[in-house]
Amino acid sequence: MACWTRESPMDERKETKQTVFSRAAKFLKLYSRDRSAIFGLIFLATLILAASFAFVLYPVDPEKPELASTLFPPSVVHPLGTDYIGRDQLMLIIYGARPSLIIAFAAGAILSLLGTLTGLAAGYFGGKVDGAIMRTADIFLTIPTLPLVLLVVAVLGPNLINVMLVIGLTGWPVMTRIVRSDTLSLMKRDFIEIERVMGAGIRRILFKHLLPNQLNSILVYTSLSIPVVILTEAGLEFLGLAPISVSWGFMLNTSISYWIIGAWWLSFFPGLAIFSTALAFYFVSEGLKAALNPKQRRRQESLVVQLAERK
Amino acid sequence: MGFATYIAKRLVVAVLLIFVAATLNFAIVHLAPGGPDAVLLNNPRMSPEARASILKSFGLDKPLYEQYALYVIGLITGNWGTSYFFLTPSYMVIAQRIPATLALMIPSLTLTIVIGIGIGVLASRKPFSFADRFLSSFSFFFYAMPAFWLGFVLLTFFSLFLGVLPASGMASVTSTKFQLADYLHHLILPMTTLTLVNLANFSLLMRSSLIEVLEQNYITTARGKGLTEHLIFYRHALRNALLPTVTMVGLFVGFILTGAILTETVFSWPGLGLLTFDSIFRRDYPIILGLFFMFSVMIIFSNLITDIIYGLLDPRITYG
Amino acid sequence: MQKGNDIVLSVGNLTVNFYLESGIVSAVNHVSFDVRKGSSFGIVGESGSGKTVTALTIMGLLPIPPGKVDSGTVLFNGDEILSKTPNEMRKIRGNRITMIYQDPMTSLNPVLRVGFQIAESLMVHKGLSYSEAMSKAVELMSSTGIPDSEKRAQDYPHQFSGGMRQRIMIAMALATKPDVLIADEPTTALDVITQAQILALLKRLQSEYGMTVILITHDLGIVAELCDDVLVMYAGHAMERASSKELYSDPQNPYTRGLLESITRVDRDIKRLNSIPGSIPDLINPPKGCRFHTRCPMVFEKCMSEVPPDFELGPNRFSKCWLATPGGKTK
Repeated sequence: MACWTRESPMDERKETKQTVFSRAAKFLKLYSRDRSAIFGLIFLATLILAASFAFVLYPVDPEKPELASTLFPPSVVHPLGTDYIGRDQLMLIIYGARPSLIIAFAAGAILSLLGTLTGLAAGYFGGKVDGAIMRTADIFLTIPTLPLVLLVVAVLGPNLINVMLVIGLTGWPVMTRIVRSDTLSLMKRDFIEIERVMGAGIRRILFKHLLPNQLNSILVYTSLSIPVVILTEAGLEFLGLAPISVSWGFMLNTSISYWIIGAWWLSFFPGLAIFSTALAFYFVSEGLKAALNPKQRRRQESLVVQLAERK
Repeated sequence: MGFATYIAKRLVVAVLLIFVAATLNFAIVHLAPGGPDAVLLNNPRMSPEARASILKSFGLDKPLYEQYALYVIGLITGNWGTSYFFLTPSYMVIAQRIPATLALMIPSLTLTIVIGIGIGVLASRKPFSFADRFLSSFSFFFYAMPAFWLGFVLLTFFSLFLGVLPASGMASVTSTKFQLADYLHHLILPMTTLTLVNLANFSLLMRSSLIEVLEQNYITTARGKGLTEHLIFYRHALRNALLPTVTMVGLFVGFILTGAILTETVFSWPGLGLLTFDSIFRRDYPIILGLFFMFSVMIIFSNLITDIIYGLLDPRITYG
Repeated sequence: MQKGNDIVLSVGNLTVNFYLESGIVSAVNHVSFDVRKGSSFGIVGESGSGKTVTALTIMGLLPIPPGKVDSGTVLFNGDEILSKTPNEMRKIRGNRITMIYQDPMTSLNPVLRVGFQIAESLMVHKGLSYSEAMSKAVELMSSTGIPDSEKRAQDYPHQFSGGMRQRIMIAMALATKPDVLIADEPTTALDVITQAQILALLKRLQSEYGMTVILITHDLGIVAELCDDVLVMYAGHAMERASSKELYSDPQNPYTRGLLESITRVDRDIKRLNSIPGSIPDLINPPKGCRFHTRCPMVFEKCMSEVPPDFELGPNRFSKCWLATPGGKTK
């Protein structure tokens, strides 16, 4: 006769007396097993620091042209070269990190919030609600993000907030799938059943049981979707849709015309920045995955199953 | 369900989706701050008379539902407005660029599929082989790779430094008609860029599909019949694993299209992507709107095609 | 239908372990038994008893990275199959020893025609051409009770019901006229009526083909109906082996007795449902000594420290219990 488990995994952890410190220590140990995750973290920390103290490092107006030094290739004085109006590229990269990081975190948060809420709703209520949410998610998945975001931003006005909102509002379906399937499997467990039978309300079940047990995967997949956010945002700027004149993507935009005359560094370094940052976020999310969800089954398979199940 | 029902269902969904795309287009235009006038008339050089007449010709003085009806009719009949820049009907401008984009997309898509299936098969069949190691080491590399940057890097290396490959365009400046060798010469770099960015992802999905199939019960049955691993893999497993792959191709058309927008810009390839870039720069809204609709139609259409192909290949649908 | 004393399959001291990250699972532990040629041999046990793993080992289908045969022999017609190369094993598997599986709904390849799946064994093992093999397949489908088999051979698995699919599996397993057919819980996934039909089919085919059938199940009723000899397994141990008659009338192992007592009977007035208290042990940390000792009503000290040997109680009869005395009854 199977025993009814009254406790959720969260309670079990309390029972085995895992203090915050021991959990943090275990987390750090598991995370550090992956060298690239450590590199990623160091890179991001450095980037965030540099970006926050940009004014200290370069106490000048980043948009001010220095027409005496236009288009200098990389040298000791200007390690990354100068751009078409003479600004030092290293400075531009550091200043350019700001919008990228802000949008990355903000859009990531929006996407995560939306995805989690819809996933929980779909998993908890099931039936028609589930159907409606998943169908909408499917539509968003089939429409490729860049053209949609492009359209919206082009028409509604290219500013930081719009870009942030639109990327967040179009990226939620991936999160929804994951939260939904986690919710569904949690719902099958005994302790949820007991709560329902005992008349617990939605708030309690959702916020005391369903959500806390999924925080780990939510965190992991949010950080995993940030590279995509960064690339989409950079793509937008590259196509000229953002008035953020000091941003990596826009630097690439202006570099197109100057490539012909051989100024390769105008496109190389900003692109490298975008790539490295996206990669760093990816490594960090892999590290988080190893540290938080050591026994999770590979999720890539489920995408294929879902695709096949669309029949 | 029978095959006919399956196709019919898919067709209906496709048409509905196109409607959704069109409506989205319409809605966004009308939601723009300042109303549709701001979007359609965003040309400071326009005189008040021209403004008024455009408003009238776009029917913006009519009630909303009537505008919507006119809009939809316009879409179907090919009246997509007039480009600000070219001063010719948008539809014609857009249609003219389609072949160039297809000339880039189709080779890239084909390569992605063929090589992707190959790598996926090798990676799952022979763990720790080159294919397997490539996949696990490089899949993340290309996950974070911005397509436009890769294009620039390749351009810089092969065109600037080595001088072997052309820097832009689809044909040499001096050519007057289509020449296969010239086209291919220009195709290499953009196609490589576009393919590379999607290859890792596709291979990974192919590999997952195979691994999932190999865990199924009917593979144990096949093994229990004393068949060779080769037969089990290619006759029993692969055939099943290729089915979801067909669906994946539909998804990848979307990715390749997005990639094409960025790649064409880098390589000045005269297709829809470059048109997008230029139109944004020129604030040519009718074209931008028309392009979005065009992209949606292309993707919905290719999804429909892949669904049909899937239906033909899966006996559960053909002989439902 | 010769049930002589020729032994077609002899398993000797077989131990199979699974080496997992979480620990070493002792799935099969020092199991020995003989199967007489032409008989129907039942292997009974709860889930986790090791019966399926034993079958997979005989077939050479054990997934070797986590699994490993740590000791023992499996003699098929006197020939040691554990030491065979994969190529040699492939000639036996699906040819001389065949198997049918538990879930007919997922055990057939959905994209290949049913007739072809049956014919495949014949093409691979007997070298028949496609048309020869296909016509044989049609015959086989008829003999396993599928009507209109010529037409149906061109259909796909999803066009058949569960019971039909199991018949197809049986046809597939019989195609090469094997010496041994292993049936792993062939009726568990089917409804009761279909179950009876499939079992009747197996019985008929066995006598027709004169082959040895090893039937793996958890259902004592099926064993009573179909099997000549029985092996009772528990937590990786072979607890008792006897002829069907002997087992049901005079079980010599407390576990077997517990199982038999927990069956409800129509012919008796039963006031309470008996069950064996406790649950099956963790196979990563199995109990010391006899693995059943934690639930055995007759347990004493020796059971908890030393694993009992297979006490011989007669020809082809043993019980793994300290209470069994050779030639005699348990106290």
